[in-house]
Amino acid sequence: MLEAALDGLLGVLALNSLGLMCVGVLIGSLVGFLPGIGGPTTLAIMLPFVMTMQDPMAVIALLVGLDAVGNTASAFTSILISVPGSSGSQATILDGFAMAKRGEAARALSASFTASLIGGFIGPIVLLASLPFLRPLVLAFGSPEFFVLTIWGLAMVGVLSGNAPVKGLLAGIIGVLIATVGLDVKSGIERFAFGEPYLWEGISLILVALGLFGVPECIDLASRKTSIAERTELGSGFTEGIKDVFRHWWLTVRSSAVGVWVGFLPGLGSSVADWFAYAHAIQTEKNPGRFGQGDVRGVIAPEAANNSKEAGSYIPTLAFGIPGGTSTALILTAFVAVGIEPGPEMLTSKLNFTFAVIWTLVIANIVAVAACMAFVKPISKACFFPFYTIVPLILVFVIVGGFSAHFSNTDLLVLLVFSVLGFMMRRHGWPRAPLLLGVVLGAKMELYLWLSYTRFGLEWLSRPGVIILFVLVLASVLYPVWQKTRAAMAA
Amino acid sequence: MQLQRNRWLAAISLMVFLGWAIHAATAAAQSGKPSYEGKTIKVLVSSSPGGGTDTTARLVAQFLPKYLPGNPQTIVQNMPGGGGTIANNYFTANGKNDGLMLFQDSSSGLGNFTRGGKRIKYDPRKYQAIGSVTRGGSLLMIRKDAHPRLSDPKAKKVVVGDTDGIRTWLAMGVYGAEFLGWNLRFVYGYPGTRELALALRQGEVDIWGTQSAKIINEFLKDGGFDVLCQQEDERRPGFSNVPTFEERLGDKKPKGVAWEAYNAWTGPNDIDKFLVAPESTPENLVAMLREAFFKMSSDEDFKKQATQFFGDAWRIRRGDRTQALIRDATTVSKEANEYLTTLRKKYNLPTGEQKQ
Repeated sequence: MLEAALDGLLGVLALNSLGLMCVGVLIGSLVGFLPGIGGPTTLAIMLPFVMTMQDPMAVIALLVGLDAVGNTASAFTSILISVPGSSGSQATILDGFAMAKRGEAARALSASFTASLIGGFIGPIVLLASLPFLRPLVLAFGSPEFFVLTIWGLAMVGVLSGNAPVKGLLAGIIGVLIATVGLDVKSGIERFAFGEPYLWEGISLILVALGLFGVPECIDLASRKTSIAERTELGSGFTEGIKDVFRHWWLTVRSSAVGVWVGFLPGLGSSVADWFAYAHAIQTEKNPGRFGQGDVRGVIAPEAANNSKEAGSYIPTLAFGIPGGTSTALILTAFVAVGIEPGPEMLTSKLNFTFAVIWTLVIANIVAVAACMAFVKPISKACFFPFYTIVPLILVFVIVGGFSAHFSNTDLLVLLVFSVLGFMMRRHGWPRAPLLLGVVLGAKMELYLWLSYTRFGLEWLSRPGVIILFVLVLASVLYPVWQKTRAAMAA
Repeated sequence: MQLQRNRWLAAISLMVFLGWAIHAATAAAQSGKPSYEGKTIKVLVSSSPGGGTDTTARLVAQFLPKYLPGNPQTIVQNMPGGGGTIANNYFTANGKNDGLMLFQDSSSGLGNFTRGGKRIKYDPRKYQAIGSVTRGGSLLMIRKDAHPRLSDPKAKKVVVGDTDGIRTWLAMGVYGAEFLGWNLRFVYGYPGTRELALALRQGEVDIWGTQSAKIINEFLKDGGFDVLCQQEDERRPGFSNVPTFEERLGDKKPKGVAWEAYNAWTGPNDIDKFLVAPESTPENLVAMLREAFFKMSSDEDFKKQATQFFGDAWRIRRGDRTQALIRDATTVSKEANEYLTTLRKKYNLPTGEQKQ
């Protein structure tokens, strides 16, 4: 194993591979920074070039490097302008943007990048530690278990609703209903599409996220006629943010573990890791009432998770050739084209390739975080730009990001609809996060329930994995209630 | 003096005009030959990333531009769902005659069309076929621990898993249940190849079919799986010890409408993965695309990668042949169609008659 580890390290540190890794990190970071242009789109564009490369190590360095860092730089737009740069940085908006409004953008950003760095270390460590039992781990989760995990995700709606649980629940239900729009993937039956080809693919998550969070904040800034930061000084937040991560080291480790866990489950989707970690933080940390008001823990948790999940997604990919998501599916296609065959050999005779993936995840994260840290102070100053400068800039990001959903004019109409919805929700105190979560999880929930019932009938409820997971879901929902009750009784 | 100057001016003007006219005429003549210079072709794919259709699309997207004048860029857009219905409907509604959107579909799209139903808003017979890649007939895999239950009607049913309940290989399962007494139950709805591969490994499904020799060999190497039969007229190279489904049927092979219906269901298998342009695409553009597709198939790098992905049994079919096969595969008699509908209902597979 040591020999394979060394071979893998030397492979990615070769001049050619290292150079390509840096190129991948640069592209991945830029893509993460720009809303709407996701990692999968960029990977798809690069695939034809990569498939002609001869050196497998170079392919690993480039593609894994690109994929690993997409969620790091996306924190810039999430924190500074309340626009999610990628699907993995949606939860970061809730506290990150609130911190930016308080003039603590630098603190939020440095906390985010430091958490990303640690998440980016912990993920590969967990991947390495799980090598001996990768295969039984992946095989343990079938459709019933995935369904319960989506329920777990939706149970977070209550956590994300703050002081408006009923509104939060209704918002979550609306989100699930929105997820049903389009042609049913099993049968092709049209649902709520009204014969419109545009709606056959469903409503794009990018448009929902940008509409709910991006535009309402612009309207708020324009109506207040102020800059993003309500204070005028930048403060010494940069070092404070780094210290915050180490101050809350246990939260960082736990959130990273949540990220790996979500990442390794093929079929759960990478856009839930940050939400899971965020909700976990609210449920387990002291003074949960501060979340959503600019609590740095609300930045640390999702950012640690969205980096560690990348390593997690390679577990089923390497063990079985079963990609953890769209990005790894594309990377897998490139791997096969250059002769890297995922499967049992990746844990035996081709272990050096597995180690190359692990080393790339670590090194690429370091490079990306270092680059992002260098831009924290200059970019944070955008928080002090007057509204007449920053609002048009944000709107450009939002519109370009929204248009990239399908490159159709109708994208902008849908963006408008969700912008109005987001504005009305914000104005009347309806939490928006549950609606977004409903959209993210709705389709998967329906799919796994269908498969569970069709395959097992009601027997799926008696599977040991399902029972264990239901108990965990119940515990995660009841634990905060028990904590509150105990605190009230103590008072 | 003035008169002489005017004459010079007139001569120069005439020469400039003639030069412009010649340039415009040349440009017009050249524009009769299509070119993709500076353009981007979108290849729409009817499946999610990672499966056979997607892999074929990406291979084509990578190598086809090399043989097209102007060497365009290509992008691949996945649009999975409904066994190809979503992508087919979208392609029919949005495809233009500029040759900038091509569609990579699989036999499922043809099967769905033949089955019919209100949600089918496309007609593959109207597409302009550019070419197809076939990987050999499907092979039916079964978990070794489920094999003993296959012929035991008293045992727990063996579960067959599929994406949309319409795949051509599924016909082996349904006809095996109907005519060989196989103890089967059918579950559909899995999103794609990778989810089914995982489900088979987990034991959530016991039987699954695929044309990919690569996937089959991976499973066989893992151990714990057998290959029941294959859907070919002759045994595929590399699987010479696996009986064809017809050999398995033996003297229980049905005749008349039943067998016609079987051929109608499995016919699209011969086409496998095919690339098409919209109906309104001009003939000269179609001819150019077909020529490029055929030349692409001789490209050494293409051949190497295709073999890496699909194994040795893959082959290319030209556009006109693919067009003819599509026509044949989608021409099904009313009786055969009715027979298939009845059979699908019996085994709880989707028919085209679901209520909207």
